[in-house]
Amino acid sequence: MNETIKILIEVAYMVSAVTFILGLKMLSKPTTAIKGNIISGLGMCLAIAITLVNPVIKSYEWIIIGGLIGSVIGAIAAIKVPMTSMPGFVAFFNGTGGLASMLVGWSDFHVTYTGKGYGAYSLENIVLILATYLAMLIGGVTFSGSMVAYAKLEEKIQGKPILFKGQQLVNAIVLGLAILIGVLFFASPNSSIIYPVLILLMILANILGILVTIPIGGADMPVVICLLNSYSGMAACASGFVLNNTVLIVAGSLVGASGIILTAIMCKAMNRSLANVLFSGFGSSEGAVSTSVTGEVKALTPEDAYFVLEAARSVVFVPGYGMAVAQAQHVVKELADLLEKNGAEVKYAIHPVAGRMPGHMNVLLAEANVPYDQLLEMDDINPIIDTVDVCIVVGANDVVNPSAREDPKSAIYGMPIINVDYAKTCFVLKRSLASGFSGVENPLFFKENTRMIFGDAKQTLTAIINQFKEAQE
Amino acid sequence: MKRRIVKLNKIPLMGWVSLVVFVSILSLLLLGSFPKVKADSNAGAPTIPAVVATECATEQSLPSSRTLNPMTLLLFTFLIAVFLGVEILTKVPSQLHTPLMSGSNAISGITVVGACLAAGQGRDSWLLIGIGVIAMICAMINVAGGYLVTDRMLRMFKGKERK
Repeated sequence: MNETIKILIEVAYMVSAVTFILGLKMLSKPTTAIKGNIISGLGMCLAIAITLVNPVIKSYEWIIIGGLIGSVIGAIAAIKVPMTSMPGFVAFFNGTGGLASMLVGWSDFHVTYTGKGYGAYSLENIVLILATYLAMLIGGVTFSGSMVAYAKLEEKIQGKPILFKGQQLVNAIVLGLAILIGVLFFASPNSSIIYPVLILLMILANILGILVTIPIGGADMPVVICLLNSYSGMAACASGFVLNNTVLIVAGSLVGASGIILTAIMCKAMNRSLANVLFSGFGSSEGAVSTSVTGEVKALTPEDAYFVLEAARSVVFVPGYGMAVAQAQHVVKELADLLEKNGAEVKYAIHPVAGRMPGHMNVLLAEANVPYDQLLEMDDINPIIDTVDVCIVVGANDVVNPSAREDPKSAIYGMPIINVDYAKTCFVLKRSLASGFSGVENPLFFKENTRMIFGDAKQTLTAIINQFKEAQE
Repeated sequence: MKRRIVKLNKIPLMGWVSLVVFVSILSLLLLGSFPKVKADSNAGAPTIPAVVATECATEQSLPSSRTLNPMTLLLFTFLIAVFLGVEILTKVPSQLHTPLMSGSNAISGITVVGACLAAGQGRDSWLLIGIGVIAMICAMINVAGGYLVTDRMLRMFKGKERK
């Protein structure tokens, strides 16, 4: 009987592993994404339900209490959170998963250590010890790292890189200690000092998570979120090896792989290596020495902008983090509708790292009901950008900075950008001439075909919209 | 209608790849369950035919290819799943980066299975219960929050035809 249940459980785990694979596959296409998410959700329900029939489980009250509290908190947070807080909350949910994996590792360690102890060095035991160690370490790093990312994105702490003297040294010491503990744990897993030492490991892991996340700020956030997402998968995978649980291993490694891929995409979009993102504290230091730009800035009033737009046949919006800050996505859409009614063709060009998380701009524009077939990726818009009449840059800076293309001395040289300066006319909606996150000056503002429209993006766009409405009456 | 056909075309390929994972887990299962049968018979269950027991015993003693360690199969499963994850996701349109991230984030809440096992062991230690309950709360926040947020986000994405 027991064997039958065991096989039933394993088969159900297989089915849910397959739903996760299919779900992820479907999530990567716009037409099937909703269904994909539901399918993987059903797989999750199946995995939880079948775990509950496991004869290992003796009592249900704590599972129910914990499960209910968690579900309610998660559901309320998910339904209540405004779309602008999305990056922060994705980080938050990610962190809780990491903490759970760490605790699963701890729980199993407690049972084994106080019970029968760790056996001889067979393959099983070596993997068990290693997996327990990794679940605690990666889980802890994921938790505290994600919480710091959450606090930064929600602006509970300053979003700028936080650097202090000897930071690398402190990081190295903490990491070294964590590795030392790993060696110790492996060498004598049943020794009497191992329990407090592993508690120390979990504390160190959490400190490490904070240390590696605080020096990363602003525009590098998408990379970090992807990386932490990958970590939470790896932590789940490690706890799967601790429990010899197939579905944890498959699902965890799928997430780990997908996170790594997204991280690579983000890094490539900034033409920087992962190490450079993680350790350079980019944009905070003196690094930004570039040739100072001189030239004449041509400012434009919303009234004049209206006349240009009124005559334009094709308009491309290039949003950036500034659009999210100004909450301008709805007015962007309103203006786009007016332009379309006026006979212009409207597109949106989105740089892969615009905003604070991967695909941030897409989510905001989707919230404003922009159909996704109007959203173009950088590689699709650049070949045709010289046919565009007007490019409207809404709160983007570094991702449209031509010095990435032209100035080999620039800190962002080599980063692929949207070539808005090749368009016939380029409007830049910006508060001031200040440089972007990278601290690099933007020669775009001084180009011949660039017009600056100073002021809050939302107000500027509203002023242009009013011009359109007045003209129609 | 056309999109449907394209979609169906892709699934068989996916099916094949997931079949590999299936088979590897299945073989793990079968191999894993044999020694257990033997262990039961040692514990004094006379119902198991002696043939099976001896067969298992010979299988264990032989250094042949049939004596695969279940742990190697778990590691194998892990490797296949990593490659599969990489293969599935290499070409994702950037507009879906956020839902994909948040959807895979929800999947990483699978650690809830471990949390269930930790919280339900029915041991007397309050420390263990505490760890289990907190793990359970955290994992369920991850699962519930992750899936709902992803769904909410995806429902905002609209194609032109659905407008």
